[in-house]
Amino acid sequence: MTTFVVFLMSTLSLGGTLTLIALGLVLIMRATGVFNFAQGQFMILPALITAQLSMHGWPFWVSLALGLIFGAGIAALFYRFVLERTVGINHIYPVIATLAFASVLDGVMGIVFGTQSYSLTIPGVPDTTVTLAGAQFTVISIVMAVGSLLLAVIVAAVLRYTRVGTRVLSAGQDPLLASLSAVNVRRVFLISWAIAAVLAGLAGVAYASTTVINPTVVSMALLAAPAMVIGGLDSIEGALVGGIAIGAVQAATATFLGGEYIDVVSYVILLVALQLFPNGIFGTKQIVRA
Amino acid sequence: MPTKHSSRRESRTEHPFFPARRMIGIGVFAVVAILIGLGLNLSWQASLLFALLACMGSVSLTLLMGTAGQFSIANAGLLAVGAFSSVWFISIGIPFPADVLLALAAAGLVGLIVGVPALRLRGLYLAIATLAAHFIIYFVVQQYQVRAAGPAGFVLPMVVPGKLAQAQAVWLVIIVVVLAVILVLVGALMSGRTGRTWKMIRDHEEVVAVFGINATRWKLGAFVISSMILGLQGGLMAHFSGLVSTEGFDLHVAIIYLAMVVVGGLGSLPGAVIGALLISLMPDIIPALIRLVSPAGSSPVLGANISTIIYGALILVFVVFAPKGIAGIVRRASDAVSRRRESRAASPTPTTGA
Repeated sequence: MTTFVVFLMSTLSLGGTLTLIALGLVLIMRATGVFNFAQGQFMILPALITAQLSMHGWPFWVSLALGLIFGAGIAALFYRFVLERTVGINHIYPVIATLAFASVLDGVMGIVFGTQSYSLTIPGVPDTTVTLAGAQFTVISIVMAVGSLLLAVIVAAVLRYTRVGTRVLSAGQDPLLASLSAVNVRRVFLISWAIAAVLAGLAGVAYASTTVINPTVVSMALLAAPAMVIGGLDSIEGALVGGIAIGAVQAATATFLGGEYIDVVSYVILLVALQLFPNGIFGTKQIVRA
Repeated sequence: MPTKHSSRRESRTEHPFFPARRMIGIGVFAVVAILIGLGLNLSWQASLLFALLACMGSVSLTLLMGTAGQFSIANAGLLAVGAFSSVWFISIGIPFPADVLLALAAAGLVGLIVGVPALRLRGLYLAIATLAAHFIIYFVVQQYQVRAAGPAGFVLPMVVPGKLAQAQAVWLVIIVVVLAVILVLVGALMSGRTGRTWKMIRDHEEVVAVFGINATRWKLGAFVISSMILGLQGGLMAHFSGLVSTEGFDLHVAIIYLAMVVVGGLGSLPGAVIGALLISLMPDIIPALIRLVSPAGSSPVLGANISTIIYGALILVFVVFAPKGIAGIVRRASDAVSRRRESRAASPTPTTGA
């Protein structure tokens, strides 16, 4: 029972983080047809900025807001000044550009933040532990796990059921038709990139508040790729289901095999899933960049 | 009205796969590379050799990404497959040239395993599958290294006997000859019918079935061929450097190879060579430049971060402002020159108001 509760909690915690990141990746994929290799940098940069600013005495919520705004800002700028200019040329240029942007951000973060690890304390959350079925958990880890999953569900619901969400999805599906229906496609794409960065940034903050964060955590965000493939690459619901599924796989791997096997197990699952269910659980039958 | 390119292409009555101009170009390149290499001191000669090795990988990527239009991020991983399988084959007693050929086959096999699930689908699946492949390969070779050699990595016995200067000169000839053969073969694949088929799949994958072309098989072919070249390069690199460690094969290496093909110009053979030479020799040049700006810049950590930024920024600048790379810039310039010459020949008196 105790083992099961521990497993469940780490599933929720890993699943919450992965779901937020995968949601951002799916949003970018739907909007601009690109796999964003810089999502890991989008994840940790806001958390590092938040940590630095609060260390210099800034109030936590102000630092957090500035960190997230900065993340959203660089994502929007990247869309506006790089991706928008690759429209109409060979479709691998935008993917190359995301990888190059990741490299630039890596270098900048290395210079500004070094290899030091930071951890965030969120004000208002008691720094205590609770005991569930014989296992101890920190309150913060429970709050973060539940909070990220809740946020992911809310974002998915907004995209699915509101007018704004419909615009985002339609602009990605058929930019021409969407623009004929008075959707400002470019603005929608720009906002999609900004939202994806905010989601990744929140995942990073959640991660930093439960463990520590440093520039090497970027590879953690790439682990959302298996979640995305299981869910179906372009499916909002798929990101939720895939995120939790991969979270469970990683929690089980960490428990039974050891933490160093998490990467390899997740990526083997990606390849196997691609072979067996190429369209994922919820994905559109064939994903082609328009 | 025929455009510049088509008129140039139509006037050519050469062999479709081995045109004389390219064969002469490759021959001249090989001779010049050997002559320059022999004239350099040992440390610059080693830098040149690594740059020439990098040309193999960049040529293979320009075939895969430029001609066939498939994005892969597994190039560092496939280099690792080549290097570490070479180590393993040597350790079970297979002698030098044979182990590199087996490394080539091993990389091709890995390419097949990754490519089969990814390339049945259109779109970005190869990017994602090769991301998975990179981390799986990295994990496997890391485990192998930790168990069989320790954290410092494997040390390979010298395969070319003699003093360092002589051995390096022999390596220069080996690497240039292998590179020339790769250039001839890849050049042949990129032109003529095979090249046209790949370009059609790249630009209009949805229609190729009408022409009786199995897009999956062709894309897989491009990926496996490029994987084999990377495996060959990895094996040769392992033997030339004599030291194999996982450090040399992380994701940043994959980005460096991307920089080579993007800077040179995706899909251009001379571009791939020029890009690889420029980018590989940059680590020898950048530290000097950094020291010029700030004396503190000589610290290795800062230097590494700055090169990471420079590689990424170079790619971004070329993607945005010159997506056809240096090859595209050169072609545009030469077209402009020949256009001016033609118009001058056509009308000796300049006409006003076109």
